[in-house]
Order: sequence, then C-alpha cells, then structure tokens
Amino acid sequence: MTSLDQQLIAVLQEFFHRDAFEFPPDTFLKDLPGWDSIAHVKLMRILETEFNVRFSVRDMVRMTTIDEIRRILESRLSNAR
Amino acid sequence: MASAESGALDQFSAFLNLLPKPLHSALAAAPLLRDALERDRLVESALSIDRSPLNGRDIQLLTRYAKTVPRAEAGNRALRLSGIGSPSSKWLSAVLLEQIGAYDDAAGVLASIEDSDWEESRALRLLALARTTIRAGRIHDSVPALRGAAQAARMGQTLQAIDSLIQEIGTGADAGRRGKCRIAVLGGGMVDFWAPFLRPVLYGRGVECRVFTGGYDQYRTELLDPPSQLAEFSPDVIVLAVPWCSLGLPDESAEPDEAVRAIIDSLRSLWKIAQDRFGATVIQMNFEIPEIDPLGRLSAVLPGGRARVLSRVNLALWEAGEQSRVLVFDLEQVAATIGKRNWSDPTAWTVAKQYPSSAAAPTMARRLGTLIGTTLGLSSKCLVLDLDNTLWGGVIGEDGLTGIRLGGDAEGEAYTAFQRYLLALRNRGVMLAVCSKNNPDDALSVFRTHPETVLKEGDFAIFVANWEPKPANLRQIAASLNVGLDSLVFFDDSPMERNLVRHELPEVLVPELPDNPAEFADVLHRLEAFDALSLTEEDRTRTEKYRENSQRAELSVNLTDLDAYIRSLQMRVSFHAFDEINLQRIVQLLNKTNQFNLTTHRTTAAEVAAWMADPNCYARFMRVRDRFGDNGLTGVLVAFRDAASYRIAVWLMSCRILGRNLDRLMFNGILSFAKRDGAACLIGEYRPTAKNAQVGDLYDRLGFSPLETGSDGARRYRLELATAEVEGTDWCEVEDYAAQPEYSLPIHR
Repeated sequence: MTSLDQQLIAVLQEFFHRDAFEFPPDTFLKDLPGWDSIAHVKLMRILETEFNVRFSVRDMVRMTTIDEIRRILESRLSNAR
Repeated sequence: MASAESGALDQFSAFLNLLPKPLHSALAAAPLLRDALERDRLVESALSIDRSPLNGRDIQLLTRYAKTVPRAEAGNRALRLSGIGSPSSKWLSAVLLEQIGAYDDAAGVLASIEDSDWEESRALRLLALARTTIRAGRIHDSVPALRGAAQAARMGQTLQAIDSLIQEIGTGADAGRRGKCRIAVLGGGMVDFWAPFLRPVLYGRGVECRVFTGGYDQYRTELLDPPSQLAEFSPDVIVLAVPWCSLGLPDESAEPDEAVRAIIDSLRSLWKIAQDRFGATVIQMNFEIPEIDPLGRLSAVLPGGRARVLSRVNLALWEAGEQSRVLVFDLEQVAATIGKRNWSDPTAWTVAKQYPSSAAAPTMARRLGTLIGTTLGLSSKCLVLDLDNTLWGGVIGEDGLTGIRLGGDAEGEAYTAFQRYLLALRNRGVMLAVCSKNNPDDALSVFRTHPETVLKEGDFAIFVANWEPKPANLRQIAASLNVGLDSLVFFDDSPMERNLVRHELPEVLVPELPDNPAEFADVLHRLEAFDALSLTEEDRTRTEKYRENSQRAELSVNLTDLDAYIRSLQMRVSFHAFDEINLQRIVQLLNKTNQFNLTTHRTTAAEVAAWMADPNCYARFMRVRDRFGDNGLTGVLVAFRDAASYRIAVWLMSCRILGRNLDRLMFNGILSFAKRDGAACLIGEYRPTAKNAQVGDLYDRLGFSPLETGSDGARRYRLELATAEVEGTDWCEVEDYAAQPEYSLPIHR
C-alpha cells in the first residue's frame, strides 16, 4: 500500500468513525452510513486540505467510489508537481 | 529523508531541528522506517524537541500515529512518554492510554496539559478529557470539560464530536440549567450541515435545545401547511435562513422599488404566520451582498442592480423587523467579518445547495446561538474589572498618579481607548464594577484626579478595593447587585487571579486575556456576553439607579425597624395596564428576572402583545418611585380569567425593590380586581427553580390553601375571594391608572 493509500484510509476512517474498516477500492460512498450530499462536500473539503489540492465540480461529482477518489487524487497531485 | 534512514540515531535530533515542523516530519517519516527501535527514537526525539503548544493538526497526526502502535506496547510507550513532559508527548501518551482502555489515566494526563489558546486546541483537549471521563464511568464529572469544549470549539468536526457526546450522555449532561429552547431553522438552501451545531453551541451556555431543520426550500410549505412536521415540533424560535440566491433577483431589476417591496411584504406575511400559528419568536436572517456579481461595481451604482436592491432590502428589514417584533440576524455583517470569500462556496452550492460554506458553518451557528441566548436572558449583567494593568498601565500603589500609563503616549492611549469602550458599555446598560487589590484611596485617586481618565467614579455601580481574596469580593458584588454569579464577567490581567476565580467560582465568566491592552476591547467584543435585543431608557440609566439604591442601603443600616425604613422611603407606587411604550421593558423583565419570580415564564414580544389584546387577561406593571429617585418598571402581574377563577400566570418583581412589602401591593391589585369582576377564587402557582426559593412560601403567607403538587415540584394554591380582604397599605402612596372608578384601590397618605 502506498503512503497515499495509507493517508487516504486514515482520513476516511476519521471521517466515517470506522477505525477498523479498510475501505476496499470498490466501496460506494453512498453505501456508507452517514453519507449524504452535504457529507460528500465536507469530505471533499477535508481531502483538499489534507492533500493540498483543489477539486473541480466534475471531480466531486465523479468521486462515487473509494477507487475513484484515489485516482482523482493521484491525478490532481501529479498536476501539482 | 536519506539521513533519517541511515540509522545514526544521534543525527535525528540535529536533522529534525533543521525542519520547520519537526513533529509532523517525524510522524510522517516513522512508518517508513523498518526498524521499530529507530521509529520510536525518531518520534520521541521530535516530541522532546518540539515543546511548543499543539494545534488541531498536531493532535490529528498524533492520533493517527498512535493507531500504528501495537496494543501490547502501548502501556509501556505511554509510561516512557510521560517522562518527556512536552505537550505533544502528553497528548500521545493520553491517546495511547485511551486506546488500551486506561481511561482514568488518560483523563489525568489530559487534565495536566496547559492550553496554548482558548480556541480549537483547548476544545480538542477538553473533548478528549470529557470523553475519557465518560468512558471511565464518571459521567457527572465530565460535564465541566464538555461544556468548556463546547465554548471553545471553532471547527465543525469538533462541534460534531461534542454533539455526539452530549447526545450520548443525555440528561446526565446537565443540560437546560439556564434554559430550554426548541429551534426551527427553515431555509432556502440546505441548513442541515450547520443548524445542528446550535445544540453544542447552546449547551456551552447551559441551554438545552432541540433543533428542527426544514427541507430544502420548504419553508413556505412548512409554515402554511396545517399538519406539518413543524407544527408537531412546536418551536419556540423560528429562524428564517433564506440565502440571497434563493430570492430570484435578476442582475438588474426593472422595477427596483417594487422588487424591494415585494420581498419585504412576502417576508412580513411569513412572519405573521410564524407568530400567529406557532407563537414563536421569529429571527429573520438578512441577505449577503455577494462579492461576485457580473455587473461589478455597477451592481451598486445602478438603482436596479442586485447589490443595490439587496442593500435596500437589508435596510428596510431593520424597521420592518422592529414593527413586526421580529429579530433581524445580521448575516451580511457576519459574512463580512469572516470574509465573503470564506463565507461562500459556489461549488458547494452547485453540488449540494449548501449555503454558506462548510468553513463558515461554525461561525453561523455561534453567532445565531448568541442571539438566541440573548432572547433567553443569558446576557451577563455586570463586568467586574481589575485596575492595575487593566484600566491603566502600571500599579497605582507603586507608580503613583504620575507613574501610571494612561493617555499621552501609545501605551497610555491603548488604555484610554479601552476605557472609552467600557464607558460605552456602561451607557447602554451594562453595569461596571471594580474589584482591585489596592488601598481604596489610591484606586479612587485615578478616577477622581487623573487628567486622562475617561471613566469616573460615578461610572461604576460598585467599587471594591481591598486586600481580600477576589472570589469573596465577587460573591459580595453579586449579592449587592442582587444577581447570580453567572451574570458576572471577570476581567483581570493577572493569570493567577483569573485561574483562582475560575476555580472557586466556575459560574463566573472569565475570558482569557492577551497581554496587549490594545486587544482588550476585542476580547470583550468576541465574548458577546453583553448582547442585547433593545435599548431602553432603563438600560441607559441603570447605573445611576443602582447607585441611588446603594444610598438607600446605607440608610437602612441606621434603621432597625423595617416598617420605619419602608415609610422613610416615601414611596409612590403606580399600577398601569401594559402598553406599547413599555412593551420591550416588560419582555426584558420577564426574561431576566429569576429571584422574585413565581413561575419563571419566559416570553416574547408577540406573546405579550397577545395578552394585551385578550379580554380575559389582567396584565399590570408596577412603577415605583421613592425619595431617592425613580426605580421605573419593577413589577409585573398577569392573570387569566378562567370560568369563575383568576389564575395568576406571571408574578415577578425586580430585585431592585425587594424587601419593601411591595408584593402585598401587587397582590391587592389582582385581589380587588378579581372581586369586582365577580370571580370566586384566585389560583396561584409556584414553580421552584434554583433561584426563586425566596417566594416558595409567598402564597402560603398570603393565606392561600395548597392544592396539588405536580411531579415537577410545581405547587398550586387557591384563595376563596368571598372571605379574602384587601389589606390597607398606609405606608406608601398608591395610584392605579388602569382602574375604572369602581375598581380604585383605597388611597392613603
């Protein structure tokens, strides 16, 4: 697991209050308890602060699974470099 | 990170010292080291080097790191860490201890950490302290920490975590100590993400509240629809939070006058429904004037530009609110305070109809919570001030009048500016008191003779200068003013005095102070302790009235006979029906009187107006003048005719005029009125609270017979009117302006 994955999982565990959950890549956000459209925006903002990136509206709407989040994060981070 | 992985342990410290944030770097690098010993040493080096106070991010990273420590090792690590003694090592130790279930130990460590500021890091520490105390089974002990966390928290996630704990411990949370409130927040955008923050915010002020959030853009339906969920919720307060973007204003309105009028009229009709259907206090949020507008500055230049129209609507709202008895929440000012760029988030609006931004949510909830708290009478009443290095630079007893810094140079100017701020507070009804360790003559000399002093002796309601411990003096001050300790704010530059008072008198509000006097006014401003809804004549003259009363108190020392004392006051008492002019003062009195208050019924302007219009309602206020001056409106009695009886629903007197037998006069009023009106009996009710024990036996003393006692301790009484007599009162002059000729009370000299 890369350090990006580790950091992402740490953030997700804190956000959803599920310390033991590993958040498999194909998990849909909407299936997680506590998720709604407002929570989605909150999570996006937290990820932006954590990784020092900014998402577009398109990014936010496309981040429906853990895998999508990772891919978009990676692409935003490589743009920054 | 090559040098870190080289394994030369003594190079760690040297390397870490070069980095801007040694702790973060160490915590980020540690998982990359394969050798467990190296990992531990790296982190512990950082914890020893970085002895600065912690912020929220530090705590988050420490918590994450702690999860990687194997459970079996956690106890030993915690023990080793306690030897380092820095705030960061203590935090890590506490997190590890909590992870292995050693809750009492974790709580002990957390209690020993000093806070760097009284905002987020303090909130996180107290939250963790509360949580570990709860997990250790000591729910009751966790309440002060939980309340402190709620007062300090600035971030949404922290408020959310505090809210979860409050919900978890339920009634054990000591909620509702200072009031209860049912708040409905109805809006044009989604309000779910900030409205629930009202719960922890108000919990921090001792108020238990329940929050109902309306659906997206459902506010009209909810208000109008008869069997709505809102009706079931039965709100005390309805907040209308309509964002500017929901108003549907075009970039340029063809008919700006019409546009303004239409918005105000539509809001007015909603207010009327809210007040009539629910009897709730209505809070209307005004409108942000958005930073970004396609017309740019033309938006304000053109009469129909959106910025211009919104400005006009906001301006009109102040008056419209005043007329309709609706409170306006100045959202535009709050947005400007935190910066409109931080306030709005166009992406969040697009994706989730969220307004304002997540970053602004805590501020929104805090400022609204302050306003709601003010309607519940939570505003503090007296600001108790230290003198040396608080109202002037230096120590008067040592530096003398010429040595203290007051006016003149930059430092002196900072203190005179602060004094001007305090004078303005005093002029709007806040009472100022002095509590200083000084010889009285030294202390007074500044206010009497220093050429630069802004405050004068007469600006203080009470002046205490002695060498006694301050907590005892504060108790005296509260007793003299006849207010509770929770109505005081204590402002002192000495950390020792602040901590002493916090420890001895936890109910007193003691803000933390920076050591820069230029920031003192800012501290008081942010505290929002003296928020007010209105400014009445009573407010403007409060200190004068109090000082006059103090003269009366001196008088009573010489007269041993209570009756003689009362006669010597030469009181003139008058009774009046409620009217528009006195409405605000009546509402104010109902909402802040705690001691002589039989039922502690909190009210709204709308409710009082309804009483005035109700033909079955006897509502009188009492005005008391005596030889020292006019005490003003100081008593209220409201009773309702119900078949053959009059039920006394509200009976209270201001603490200013207690101990003068005036309750007998007020009672005479309702007694004679009820008899003339042909009623058969009077029903009285006493609802016990923490502060009104002195009236617990009032109805017994007046000759009522006890009826049932409710499960909440409320006692009802009954008095048969056929056999009750109106007692003459020849010790003062009484006039009843509400009386018809046949209702007039006996008037004696």
